[in-house]
Amino acid sequence: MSNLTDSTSPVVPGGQRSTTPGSTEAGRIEVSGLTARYGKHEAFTDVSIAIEPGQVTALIGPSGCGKSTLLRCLNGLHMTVPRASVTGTVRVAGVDIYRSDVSLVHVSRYVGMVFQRPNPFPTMSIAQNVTAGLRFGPRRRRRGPWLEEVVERSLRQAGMWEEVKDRLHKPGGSLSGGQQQRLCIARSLAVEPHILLMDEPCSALDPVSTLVIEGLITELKNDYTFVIVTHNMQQAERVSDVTAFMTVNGPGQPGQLVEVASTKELFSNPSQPATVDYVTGKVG
Amino acid sequence: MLAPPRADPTEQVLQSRGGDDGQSGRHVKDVAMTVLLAVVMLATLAVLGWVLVYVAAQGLKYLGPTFFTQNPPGNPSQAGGGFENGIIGSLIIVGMATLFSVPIGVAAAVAIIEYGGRFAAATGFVADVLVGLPSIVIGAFVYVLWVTRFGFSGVAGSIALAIIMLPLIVRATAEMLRLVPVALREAAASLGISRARTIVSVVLPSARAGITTGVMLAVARAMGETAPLLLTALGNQLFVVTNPTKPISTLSLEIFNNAITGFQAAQARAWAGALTLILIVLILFVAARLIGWRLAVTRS
Repeated sequence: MSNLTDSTSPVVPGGQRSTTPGSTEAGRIEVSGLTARYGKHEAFTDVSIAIEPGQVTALIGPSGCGKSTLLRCLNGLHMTVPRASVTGTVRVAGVDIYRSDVSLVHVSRYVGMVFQRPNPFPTMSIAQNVTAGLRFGPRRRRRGPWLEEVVERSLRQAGMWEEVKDRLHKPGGSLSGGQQQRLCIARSLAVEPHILLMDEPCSALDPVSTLVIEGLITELKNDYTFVIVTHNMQQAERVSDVTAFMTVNGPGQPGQLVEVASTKELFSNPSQPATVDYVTGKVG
Repeated sequence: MLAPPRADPTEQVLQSRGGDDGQSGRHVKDVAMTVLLAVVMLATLAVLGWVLVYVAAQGLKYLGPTFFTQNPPGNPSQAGGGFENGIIGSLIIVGMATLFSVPIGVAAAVAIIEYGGRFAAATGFVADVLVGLPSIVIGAFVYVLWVTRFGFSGVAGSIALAIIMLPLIVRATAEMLRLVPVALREAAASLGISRARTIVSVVLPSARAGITTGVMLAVARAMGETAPLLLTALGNQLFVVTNPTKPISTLSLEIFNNAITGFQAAQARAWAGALTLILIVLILFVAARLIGWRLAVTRS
């Protein structure tokens, strides 16, 4: 797969992606020797990790360990912060996204993102929120009946079609917090990425909404690669296949990736002492 | 004030620490501050109310339907006539000034907030300085640059008003853009929406209610400006002019010209004109609020 820079790669209107995710390169992220900086401050140093397609990878670790920054490096969003920089490589679908000729716009075809707080576009209706990426994104499809199909398909995938099908033209902000977050998931799914990054997607939600989102991840993980940052170790245990543990030695120090293992392994039999301390609750 | 329950142990601790007069001392302070703030608030409202009531009382003596359909009499000492020329002139000149200043002002605010950089920061600083510039200075500036070459005209007046409105629009828009959460910009970026597209389709729509209010404040300010128009639009006291390349009168100029005469009839017209000006600004303001409110609610 090297069509990351090809802005005319085929997208069948109303249809599914031309490649099956979960099993192909398109859903894979390879990070090697990555260091991210805000100005001179290093958020983390020398992280290498392979995100395998079709799996849920959880990033856990104490506050300030750089796990959110690592997540934001996976789709290049880190670079939108003033004075932010990286060294090392992040390969999405085999292409280094920090190559000078690859832009965030192209990466978005492969990698979608859901944020900590639900952030539907306030001036758009539920349906317009879902189609925003298609209407304003690189593929630029303004209207047509297939947009309505995308709305229905994406909202069904996000498990909320039945709840909102009668008020698609109401503002996205009129929904409850949990519904708004699912709307944001539907919005990301509408552009048919292969990978979905989630930055503590449940930290602003109540326990019931949290379970709904977790159920959604489990349901969708056959079709999408998930990377989820979470503070909640139970959540990592519940939803993820692989867990990466990051830590930081002190304030102002750069974060480090300590251990990556299958979630079962990491929680039951961690190999590094720092991981043992964290998962058993001695620190953090 | 509710009496504290006697059994509350914290209350007893607080009382014993503050002594016997602790409770009543706080009560006195509470009442004193409440009264003080109420007086300050009423004083503020009273000044505004006084102005409005006085202008309304004076203006209503003369204001009638013919005020909007007649021009001032050729001899200012004569009674009768209206400010039709001024009302139409104000709408033309301020309308043109709005057309000039809003696109430039909003674009400048976008450059300052969304793109930043040294040049943008300098623009913001210049806009802040421009706010404090006396409007007569701007009138003189346009007089030298424009009027000395092309003569007095509505266009010259609207250029002067546009320069007055510009920094207000830049500041109000920048303030509103700053309030749009970064999260929305990041969400758009993660969907592959380009930066320019994000500004047009996400950021500006999110801020449009606030931008509309800011523009209306600038319009209200421009509506009342008189000094720069004396040097640019000049005025025409006798008939309606709709050609902006000719000298045009405005409501503010008519108020000024009629108020400075010693004739009672002219002063009565000036009061009615002042009331009309307030009403126009009020109507525009309410309209802008309604539009902003409608815009904030999404339709399909």
